[in-house]
Amino acid sequence: MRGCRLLNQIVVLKLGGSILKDNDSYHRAARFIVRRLHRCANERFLIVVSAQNGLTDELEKLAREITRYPTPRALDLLWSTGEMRSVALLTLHLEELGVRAVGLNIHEMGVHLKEAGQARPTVQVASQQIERTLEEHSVVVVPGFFGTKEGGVIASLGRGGSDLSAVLLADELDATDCELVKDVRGYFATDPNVDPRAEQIPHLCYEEALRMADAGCKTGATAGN
Amino acid sequence: MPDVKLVQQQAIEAARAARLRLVVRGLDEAAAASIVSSDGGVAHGGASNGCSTTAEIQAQLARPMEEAL
Repeated sequence: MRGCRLLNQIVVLKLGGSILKDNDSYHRAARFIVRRLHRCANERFLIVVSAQNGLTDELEKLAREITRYPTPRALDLLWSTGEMRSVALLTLHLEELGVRAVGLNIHEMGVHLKEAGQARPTVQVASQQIERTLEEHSVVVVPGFFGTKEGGVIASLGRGGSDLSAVLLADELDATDCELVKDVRGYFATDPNVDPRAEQIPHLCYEEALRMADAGCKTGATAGN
Repeated sequence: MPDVKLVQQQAIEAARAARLRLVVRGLDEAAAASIVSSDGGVAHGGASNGCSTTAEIQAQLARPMEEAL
């Protein structure tokens, strides 16, 4: 994390769907951001949000009730309403708390997918719009999990894509850190939902985190984008 | 849909490629976070970075909040 000495530093915060469960939780998330703003007035925040907890699954279920084999394009379009709803709700809560916040849509945020539809599309980020918006607003809220491909077609980055969105945006914006806000406060040696005495792992290297990902380490986190 | 991993592999790989530090945390700012970085948090940052060590980062994360609201 960058400290508070530099002017107008950009902090990228990703809010996972597991902490966005209802209207009150959006309010709590907005208060969290306000406290961060009060702590360091020089920081500007790019907030990457997932859909509300469980909504992506509900939308897929709805799609499959309509047609057994929805096209990826139609499914992505429907899914995207979940993330956009989150952007709007969080922005409204921030506005209510007096924050100069603005929500951007998928086309405004500048995440472009090349060869989308393959297992691992190449992602390019053009952050000029976000940077311009951050010059005039303390907080910019964008949807995770989605980008656009040729012709402006909305496409998802794949399951877990909101974390990837946040990392790519943080890199493009030259942030030192990317904060991923989850329903558990980090990595644990054992599942804290099962073992109340589970020890948190304060630091780990990328390779250790990858090994834990390979091993299916969930540490209590629930599904989200 | 099945549960997903705490942080997805693609995101970790992208962070590693960019040498971007990941802070995995909850909404409770008083609680400790987990930090994923190139050296596992032993030494971080430099002149362009206000925090140079993980201890400083953790201290910043745990700093008591102003009662803004």
